[in-house]
Amino acid sequence: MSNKKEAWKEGMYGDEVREKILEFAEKGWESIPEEEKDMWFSRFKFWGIFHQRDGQESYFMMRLTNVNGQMTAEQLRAIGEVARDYATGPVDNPEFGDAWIDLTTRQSIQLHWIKLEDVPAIWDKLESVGVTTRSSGGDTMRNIVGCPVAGKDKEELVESQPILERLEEDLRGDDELANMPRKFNISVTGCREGCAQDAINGIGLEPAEKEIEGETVTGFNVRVGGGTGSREPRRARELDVFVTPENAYDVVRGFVELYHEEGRRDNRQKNRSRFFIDDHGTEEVRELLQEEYVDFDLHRRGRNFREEYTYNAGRPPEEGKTDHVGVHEQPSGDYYVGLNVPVGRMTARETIALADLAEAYGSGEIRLTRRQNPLIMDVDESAVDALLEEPLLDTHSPEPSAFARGGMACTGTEFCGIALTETKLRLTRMLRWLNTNVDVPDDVEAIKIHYSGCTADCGHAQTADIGLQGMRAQKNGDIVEALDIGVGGGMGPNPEFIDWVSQRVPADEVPGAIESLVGAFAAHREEGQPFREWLEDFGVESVVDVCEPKETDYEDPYMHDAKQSWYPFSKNESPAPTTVDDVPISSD
Amino acid sequence: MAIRLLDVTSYTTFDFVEGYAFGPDWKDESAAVVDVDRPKESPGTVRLQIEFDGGDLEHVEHHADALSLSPEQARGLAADLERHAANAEAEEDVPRGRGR
Repeated sequence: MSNKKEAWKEGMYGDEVREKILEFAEKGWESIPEEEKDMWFSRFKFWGIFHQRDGQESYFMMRLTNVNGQMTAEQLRAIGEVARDYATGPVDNPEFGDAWIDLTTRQSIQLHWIKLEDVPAIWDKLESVGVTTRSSGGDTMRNIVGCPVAGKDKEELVESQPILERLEEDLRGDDELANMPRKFNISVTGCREGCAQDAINGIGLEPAEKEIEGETVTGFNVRVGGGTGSREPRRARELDVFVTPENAYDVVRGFVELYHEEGRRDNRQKNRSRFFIDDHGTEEVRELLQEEYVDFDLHRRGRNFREEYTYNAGRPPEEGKTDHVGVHEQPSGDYYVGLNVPVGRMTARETIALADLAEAYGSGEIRLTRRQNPLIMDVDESAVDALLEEPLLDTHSPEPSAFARGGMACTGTEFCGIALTETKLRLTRMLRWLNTNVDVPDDVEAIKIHYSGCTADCGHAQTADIGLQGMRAQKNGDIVEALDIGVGGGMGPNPEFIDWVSQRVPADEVPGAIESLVGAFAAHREEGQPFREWLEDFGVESVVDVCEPKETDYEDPYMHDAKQSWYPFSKNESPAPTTVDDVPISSD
Repeated sequence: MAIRLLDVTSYTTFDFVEGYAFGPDWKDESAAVVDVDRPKESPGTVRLQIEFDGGDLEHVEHHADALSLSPEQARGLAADLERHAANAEAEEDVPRGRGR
């Protein structure tokens, strides 16, 4: 028996939903029949239009897609202008004001407070410069991730750009494959740093080499069935397949078709590709792929380069880049400059300024990373110093503090209907407090603190030095927002998820707990040891003993909000649903 | 400390309930997650799940408990909860013995 969402998808999905969105937009919010709202909102997601949560009726989040986080200055400027003109809500965020963009952990961008009536004009503006929202949500292939500096990286072993482009055009663009059993993630990287984090994707191509007929051939090993979500994270598993760049497209397409046809559609809790691999095993899937989905002989796996992976790996800085922040030389002799945007949020004004800087100092190209940061590409060596003097780079510094560099957060209760706690504003305040109050050893580049508002873990708490997940606790007789605290996650050669060390810590005691953890790290580490390596020596059980949640002078004004309020930073009644001008629509 | 076994999101019935696990001569007080749903593999039943926080347990391993209830049993449980809730709000005396 298929579930309700499957029935909706069978009724209409993919490209034909666009016409309905345009129709509803023209007639206005109230033209969507009440009893059909859930169905339409589910279908809208394919086009990147997500209805915001309860209490925020008639407001939408819009997610953009691109290949591998790549865009031009013209495109980013258009996005910034859309944010300025349309991503404006009925109430300001106390930290970020009105009109901003969120950079995501999948190298994409999200806009909030969008009115359905504005969607056609937004699409016109974005699509005129080649930016689309298609296939960015729902049960579909999401934007493809990869090494953000593909083609411009000294560490690149095999070129991935042509494969990324073909996957985007021919695979994601194929409306026949729009309706997947569940959301599906693809990553392709040819660099030796592991920055596409292939271990947490539905299918990931990682650089490899293999002796074939006496010659060393470079290409990719294939991993399948990874993901961090819910309470059942999985590292992607070896499919035991090596592909040449020429055959890479066909193997990815073959696996996507296989999962499209064979993946479960009856149980939404168990139909992500990682469970598909659990059920069938990699050997069976490999056989099926060979027999029915590709028409050439699959090679067994080649030699991978995972031992060299440094991205989010918790290794010392001298071994290689842990992220793309800072000034880095490209093979051409130009440089790219990675800005640091803690919690991934930039105002519309900053976004437009970033586009202007990319054009003035570089080639105009901008890339987004999986740590919610933007890169300005192709900066001539002689222009680097002047770029570093620009005011925007003072705000989003390429030389950030260790805490600012390591901060990432999901959307949280501000807009997400699943989350238990607020995230981005809280982490911003916590990072500020930690910067001022907690000393980090000079040689430590980053303390990675990732914060998710619930166990769905969109903020990648599972792969952090210090992972935080939203919970609830009782404090002084009140129910308050609280966090589970874990340590020791990371990617690299041996991806590991965090171990929990303290549960239900009231939000205002979390900075104190982090202070105790970082204090123990600073006191007991050997010189040069990053957090994750220290933890392996020190042991998780010992960390449980040293972790001391306590109140400090950090103030958390929003910990009593709970999930019921319509917007965590407003004490007023919700105005929603509203007209396109944010005027409440009267109930009669 | 083990990963939480139950999903904890805004859809979870209760993300915070106080309770305790006990044996003949011990008692572990703990916060708990309580969730009611219908399992996909048995959609004609109602499932009640309870998980105490692993960090609070000394005498038992971290685990979750699940009860499979028929719709009739689920209604019976709900009716009993309603009745006791009303009595609790009215602050009525707690009857002893068979009169419960």
